[in-house]
This record gives sequence, C-alpha cells and structure tokens, in this order.
Amino acid sequence: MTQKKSSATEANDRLYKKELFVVVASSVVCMLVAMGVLFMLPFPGLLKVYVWGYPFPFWYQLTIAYVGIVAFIYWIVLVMTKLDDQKAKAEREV
Amino acid sequence: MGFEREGLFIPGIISVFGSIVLFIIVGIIAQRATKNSGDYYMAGASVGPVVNAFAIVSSYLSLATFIGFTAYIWGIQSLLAIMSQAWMIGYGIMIIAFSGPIRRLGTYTAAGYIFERFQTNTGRLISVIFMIFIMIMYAVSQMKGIAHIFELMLGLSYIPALFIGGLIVVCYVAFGGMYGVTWNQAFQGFICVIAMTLPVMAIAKVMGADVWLIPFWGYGNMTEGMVKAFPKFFSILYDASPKWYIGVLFSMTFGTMSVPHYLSRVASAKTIAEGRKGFLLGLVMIGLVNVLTFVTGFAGVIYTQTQGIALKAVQADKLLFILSDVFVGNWALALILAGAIAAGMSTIAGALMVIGTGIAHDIIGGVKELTEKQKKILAPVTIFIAGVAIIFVTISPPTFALASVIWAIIVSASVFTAPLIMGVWWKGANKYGVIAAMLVGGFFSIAFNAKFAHPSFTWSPTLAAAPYGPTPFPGVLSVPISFVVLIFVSMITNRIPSLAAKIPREKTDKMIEFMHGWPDHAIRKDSTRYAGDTGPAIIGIIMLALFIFALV
Repeated sequence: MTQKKSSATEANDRLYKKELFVVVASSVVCMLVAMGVLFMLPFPGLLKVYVWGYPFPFWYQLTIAYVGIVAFIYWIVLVMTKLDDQKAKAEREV
Repeated sequence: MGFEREGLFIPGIISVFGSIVLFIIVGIIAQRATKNSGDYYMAGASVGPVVNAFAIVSSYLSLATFIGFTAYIWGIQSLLAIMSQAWMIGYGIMIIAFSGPIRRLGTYTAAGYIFERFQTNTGRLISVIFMIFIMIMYAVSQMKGIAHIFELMLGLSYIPALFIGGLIVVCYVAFGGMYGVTWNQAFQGFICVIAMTLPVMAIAKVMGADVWLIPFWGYGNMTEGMVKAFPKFFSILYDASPKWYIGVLFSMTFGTMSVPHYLSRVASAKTIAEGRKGFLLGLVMIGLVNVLTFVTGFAGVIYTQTQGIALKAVQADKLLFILSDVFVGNWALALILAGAIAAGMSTIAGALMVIGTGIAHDIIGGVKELTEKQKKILAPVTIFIAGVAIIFVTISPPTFALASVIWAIIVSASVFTAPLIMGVWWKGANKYGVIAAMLVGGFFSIAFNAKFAHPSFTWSPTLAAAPYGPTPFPGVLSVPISFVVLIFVSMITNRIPSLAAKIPREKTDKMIEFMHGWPDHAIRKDSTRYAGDTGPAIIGIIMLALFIFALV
C-alpha cells in the first residue's frame, strides 16, 4: 500500500516537473527570440548580410521571429497536449 | 501635406456603411443562438479554431494597429519590427503559460481572474478600475482612426468627422453592436486580413516589388532605394539602448499576455486543445499582418523621402490611405477603409463593453445590488456616456494612434501580468501581494508614461521626459517592480499568522491544481506541486536586478 502511494505520487511529481520545465524553458526561448536583435547589437556587420534582398533585421523577422517561433510554439503545444492527457490519467494519490 | 479629398468619396461610403450593415446582420444571426450570458460574450465556448483565430486577429488588429503600424514605421523606422515581433510573441507565451489554466478556471476577464484566484473584492475593484482606464486609452486611438476614415469619406475636417463617425460607432455599439461578439469579431478579423492583403499586393506591384503576389517576402529589391533615400532606416536599431530593448520586451510581450480583450479569447474555444490551435492559427495571421504592414511602411518611407513630402507626424496615421489612393486608386482606398472600420468597430465594441460592464456590474453593482432589468438599462447607458467621453478626449488626439494602444498595453503589463503568471504557477501568491503589485506597477507605468500616452498629460515634464530610448518604454521599470512586490509581499504575509489566516489557502491551492488539469483524485491536501518558494524567489531577485538596472 505504501509502495503504491509512493509510486503514484512520484509519477505525478515527475509529470509536474516535466510540465514546469517545458513551460519555463519554452517561455524563455520565446522571450530570447523577441529580444533577439538586442543580442546582435555587438555585430553591426549584420546590416551588410542580405537574405532575399533584406538586411538584418528584416530577414530575422521573416524567419526566426515569425515562421521559426510559430513552428516552435506548435511543437510545444503538441508536447503540452500530451502532458495534459497524461495528467488526466494521473493515478490516485492517497 | 494634408491629404484632404474634396466632397463625398462614394466608394468609401459604400464600403464602410456596407460593412456596418453586414456586422449588424452577423450580430442578429448570432443573437438568435444566444441563450445566456456565456453565449453572449463567448459564443457559448463552442467556437472552432478557424473562427477563433480570426476573432484573435480582430482583437489584436485594432484600427490603431491597422493604420498605425504603417505610420509608426514612418516615425521610428525598423524599430517597429522589434516592437511588433515582441507583441506577437506575447501571444505565444500566453498560449504556453496560461491559456489552459485560465480556460479551466472559466473566467474571461482579468478582473474575474483576480477575484476567483485570489478571493479578494478589493483586488477585483482595483483591477476593474485599471481595466476601465486601459480600455479608455485603447478606445481613444480607435476614435482618432474613425475620425480619419470619416474625414476621407465625407470630405470633412477632423473635429466634425470625429463627432459624426464617433457617434455612429458609439450608437452602434451601445444599442446593438455587442450582439454575437465572438462571431462578429471573427467576421471583422476576416475582413481586416483581406482588406490589408489585397491593397498591399497592389501597392507592392506599383512600387516595383519583385514578387508582389507574396508582398511581405518579395520587396527585397527595394532595399537599395531605401538605403539611398533614408540611410538610417535599418541602422537605427543600433542606436537604441539595451534598456529600450528590455523595455520593449516587458512592455509589449508581457503586455500582450494580459490585455483584457486578448485574454477573453482563451475562453471561447470548444476545448483547450482547440483553443491552443486557434491561437496558433491566429499567431500565423497576426505575424502575416505584421510583415504586410512592413511593406506599406517601407513604401511610405520611400514615397515621402523620394517625393520630398513633408508629412506632419499627427497626419502619419493617414499614410496607408494615402499610399492606397496615390498608387492604386479608389478600389484599394475603399477596401482599406472597410478594413479600418472593421478593425475599429471590433476594438471599440470590446473596449466599451469592458468599460460598460465594469461600471455597471463591478462598481455600481458592488455598491448597490441591481436587478436584471436595471443592469440591462444601465449597461448601454454607461457605454454611451463612456463613448461620448472618449470622443471628447480625442478632440486633442495622440500624435500617433498607435501610441495610446502601446500605453494601454504597458499599463496592462504592469498591472496584470505578474498576478497572472505568478497566480497560475505559484500557490504562495496571495491577495496582499497582488493588490500591492497592481498598485505599484500601475503607478510606475502611468507616472513614467504620461506624455507618451496623450499630449495633454504634461503635468510632469521631468517624468514625461524619462530617457528610455527613441520612444519611452517605462515597462522596463514598472513590470519588474510589480513582480518584485507581488513575490516578496506574498512571501512576507504568508509568514505573518494573523494575515495568513485570512487567506483561504486550502481552496486556492486546490483551485491551482484543478487549473492545471489534475483530476480530483490526484490532488492531495498536502500536495507540494506549484508550492515551492525557490523559483519565485529567483524570479524576484532577477526582477529586482532588472529594476535597479533600469534606474541606474
């Protein structure tokens, strides 16, 4: 009985920690992408790097800060949906 | 340059009034399916991802953003790219961090959340007052845009156009425009996207973009012309200080997460999974609108620079209209006007609804219990009075329509984001911390942002001139301090027995587990999930360091 109680609690706590990690890490990634240009300030040479005819930051906006971040969030949403399903099936903690 | 048209602009009148008639028809059809207040505000939480995505676009794309992004690119060049991406990514964090928990809690306003989660009437009253304040500033910029539309349509000057257009919109919202809010917002979002995409394609084609069919991708060949005409267009990014960038993150990204009418969209989806999908689709379209506005902003800067046109800053909000008229002609201008009225209607309806229900239900209803009949009379009356007051405030408008939207978002970030994030993820967040955080965050965001919001707010020249970059972003101060106050006041009061006894911890602890989707049988009374103080303490210390960095 004690063994059962402990294993259910441990499994649920693992799920909780995984959820917390996914949310914190992905939110930090989103914030870093939003502020991406700040980290490029030491590299003014980027203004001379052209992609599809655009200098930085327009190509950054079209790629990483738009399509890239939407794809990333889509992946995270899939992970979170799976975590929600696992939580709904969580075992009884006594 | 004034860009006044002479006389009536018939295609514009047809497109604008035609749109309003369509909104009324959609509202009447949606109203037939309305059975209760849940149906009324949130379409009975039965909306699929595509409809919800368009409603989300409509919530984001106010009239101020529809015309204001182009104007702001003209004003601050590529710095707007940073602001718009930070704005959009805020939605992404909202999806990840608390769309699911808020949906499970079943509240659709920030005030409702504060009351439910923290079990405090004082907190609810404070949040309602801030919500009303935020929505008034949000609506001011929409009114400025409405005035510009009626100026062009009827060939009038600003003030008469403001009163005629403003009164039409306020009457529509007060006496019928709120029917079927979600469905109408979705329809208005759809019109906005179409009305933005087609004219931008046409403008890109005439301006000489290589791939005008995909305008946001295909105008790279115009870069050389831009750099010649305006050498600092891109390099201005390197002139902005790190404080400005951090301020933008806190102001725009954190603001988007908590703006009342953005948050309400979480509640209208059928399920949490569908709600997240709807938000993602909405995110794709919001990003599309952002990059489309870069095309018109780019075109606007090239046009004014190469033609030597000295546009006054206060008229820059007309730039999208000017480009449509000059480069394409009547059909594009009429379509843009239809998109603009759709964007304005949805935002003003949302803002006035928050103001009306806030005053009628939360403030007057909090003092005196009202009957259902009294509430039904009071709501449209308060909406009408608030709408007229907003028209008067807009007689002296902000230079850029987008400015007061940004201001509202900064206040929202400073008042509501810390309670949302910490309240969802930390059981230790309590009513004392939240009330203190809302007051301190609200004070800092308003005091350090006054002049930026409205030209008449010049009571404190020292504060108004706060040096936070090309445009002031007091979020760099006010958002971190609201986190610091919430975390440390909560930690201290949780350790004072007389105060801790007044916090219904058992109820709120269980609520948090439920918000995260744990089934009843998996919630123990002594569960330690979401209860640790270490994480919040680390966040508090980081925020304190950022606050000190902002001050130095």
